[in-house]
Amino acid sequence: MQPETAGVISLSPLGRATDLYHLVLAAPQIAKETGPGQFVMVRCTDEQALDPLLLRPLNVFRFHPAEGRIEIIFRVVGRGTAWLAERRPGDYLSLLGPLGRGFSSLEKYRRILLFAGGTGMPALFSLVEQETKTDSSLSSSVGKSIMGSSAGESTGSPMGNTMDGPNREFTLFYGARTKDELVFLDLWQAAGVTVHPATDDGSAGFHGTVTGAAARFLPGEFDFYCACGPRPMLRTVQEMMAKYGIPGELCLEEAMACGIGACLGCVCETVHGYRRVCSDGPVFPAEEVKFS
Amino acid sequence: MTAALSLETKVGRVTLKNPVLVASGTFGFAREYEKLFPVSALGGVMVTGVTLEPRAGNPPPRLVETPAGLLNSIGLQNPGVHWFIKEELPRLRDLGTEIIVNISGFSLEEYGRLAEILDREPGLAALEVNISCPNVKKGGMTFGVHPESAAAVTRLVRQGTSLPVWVKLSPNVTDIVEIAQAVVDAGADALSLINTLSGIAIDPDKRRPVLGNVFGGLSGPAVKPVALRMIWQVYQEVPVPLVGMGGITNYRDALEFIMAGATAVAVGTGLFLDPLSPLKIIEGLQGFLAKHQEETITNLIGAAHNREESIDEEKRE
Ligand SMILES: Cc1cc2nc3c(=O)[nH]c(=O)nc-3n(C[C@H](O)[C@H](O)[C@H](O)COP(=O)(O)OP(=O)(O)OC[C@H]3O[C@@H](n4cnc5c(N)ncnc54)[C@H](O)[C@@H]3O)c2cc1C
Ligand SMILES: Cc1cc2nc3c(=O)[nH]c(=O)nc-3n(C[C@H](O)[C@H](O)[C@H](O)COP(=O)(O)O)c2cc1C
Ligand code: FES
Repeated sequence: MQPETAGVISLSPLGRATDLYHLVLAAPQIAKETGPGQFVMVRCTDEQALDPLLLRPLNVFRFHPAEGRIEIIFRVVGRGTAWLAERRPGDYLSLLGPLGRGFSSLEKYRRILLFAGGTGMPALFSLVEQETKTDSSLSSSVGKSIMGSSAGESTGSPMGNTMDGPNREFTLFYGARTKDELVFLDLWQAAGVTVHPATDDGSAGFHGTVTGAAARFLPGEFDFYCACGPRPMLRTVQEMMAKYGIPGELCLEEAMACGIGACLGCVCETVHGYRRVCSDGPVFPAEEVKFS
Repeated sequence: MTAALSLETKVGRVTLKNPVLVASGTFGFAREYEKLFPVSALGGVMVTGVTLEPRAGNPPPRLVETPAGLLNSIGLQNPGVHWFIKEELPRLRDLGTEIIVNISGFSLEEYGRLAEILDREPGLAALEVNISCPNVKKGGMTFGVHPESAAAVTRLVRQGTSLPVWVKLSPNVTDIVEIAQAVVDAGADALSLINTLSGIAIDPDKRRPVLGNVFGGLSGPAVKPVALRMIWQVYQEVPVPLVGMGGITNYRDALEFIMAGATAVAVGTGLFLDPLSPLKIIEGLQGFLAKHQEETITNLIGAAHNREESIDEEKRE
């Protein structure tokens, strides 16, 4: 974690009818340190200007340590993100990162459910990209040792004799307002993920929420789930998955000031009391989060 | 052959290597910012407010951004003074900078107890007494808004400790000078000002206040003119060193506070837009001294006042 001046490599609107943008940045130090589910704080203000005052938290969508790049997807919702959408290649941005505690390793799990709502998608993609990369780049002996360590805890699944690691299956329920806002489906598919879209307006996939879309596949044989998206979605996912006894992790959002755990401004309620979303999270064990 | 430029400054008995501190509540117990820069470069650290008992703080949301400002309602979340002494203080002592402990109480007795407990601890530069807490016994009115209760708190803390006592004034008062005078008469060695300005924000879509606690405290550049005005007024009337804060984000802001009468300054919200801003401010002050051939920063304290009207420099130490 450190401040880093990042160069804008590219900034492109995603689709015609959306307010989503894809930002690619040269940020070698942050790219080297980032893990799945972590975020950066981005200053979205002209130099010397004091308004908007605070840095904006944005999840890292993809990180490429070798190339020294990170990618971000953001939606224009207000002044800061509107400012960000006007940057051009060659511009510089002040970043602080990588920040937060991201997703846990999924090495123990085989069938994993993912719930993404809107701009909750990037965090989950960083996880899947990391996990699927590891699978293919690990030698089979490492693969074996992973299985060895999880064999005792696995619930009789026949994965002990595969040579290619745990051979995980990812199933994604991806919700957006409309078809055009379901972005980078090709990347998800290339990562081998089964994608079930859902849209509020029914223009693609299931007509309704991600939880509605997922209901008919549950309980299924899922071991674990990860979810990132708006609060109401996370709350419904948490309830639904608790009913089926499937453990998981939630990636939360809260207004932030320092982004590093110092100001205690970003807390959420958990079974252990208030916890800082920026530094104890943003990813929390699902059963610990209390939605009031 | 120019003498080394000096940023050293003295807040009463406390010598600071430079006048740039970090403000209470924005820097935690230095654990996080320690990872970003050498905290030893700072003039001092004013640690997050500690109370006698641990406090969970206010329900979220606790933050709202306002035009060039920040409204917060943290509600003094902290692990309590005993945990602080056991788990945080040993590390803080070794940071290589002055440690000022910010204390808050919900009754007069709590302030007194905190002073006594912390008095036994080595390695502290001063106590900063936050009098902006609600007085539970008096129906939640804060101690800091009446000269009598502000003085009563100060007196008890004074009795409880031989450490320097800095009283942190609330700007939510009609006459800041009256309060300043009252706490100095009651034994304060120095004053810090300002704490946050009370405010609220409303979400028109939800038709409800945004903050979980409804009320919050405004900080950041938006409050700077108010803070400067209060420093100015107190400097003119009350002979005591002042630690100025409220919206400082760069060295020129810091100079405004110093020239209005502050002996030292603190950066709070400014950390959030640039975590390295305190270091840049220190550098900027150094550059300013060099450029204007001032040997010491102390020459600039109160420089913006008409010299005939301002009180003797000697009295302020
Ligand atoms: C850890 C974390 C990771 C995030 N990752 C991403 C990401 O990858 N992509 C992305 O697009 N966004 C992400 N966000 C949300 C993003 O930080 C906000 O959308 C952004 O700060 C808004 O700034 P603004 O200045 O444009 O809007 P503001 O001017 O601050 O707000 C404009 C309006 O939008 C509302 N608003 C503010 N924040 C949000 C929010 N989080 N969701 C919905 N409405 C909001 C405000 O209440 C206000 O009405 C993340 C947030 C957190 C805490
Ligand atoms: C998030 C936050 C927490 C704060 N907590 C405390 C506190 O615990 N005790 C205190 O005396 N002041 C507290 N303050 C007030 C600051 O120390 C400072 O007086 C005020 O914010 C004005 O300075 P600034 O504009 O540089 O932030 C807090 C301010 C902020 C923004
Ligand atoms: S934003 Fe400051 S503690 Fe999380």
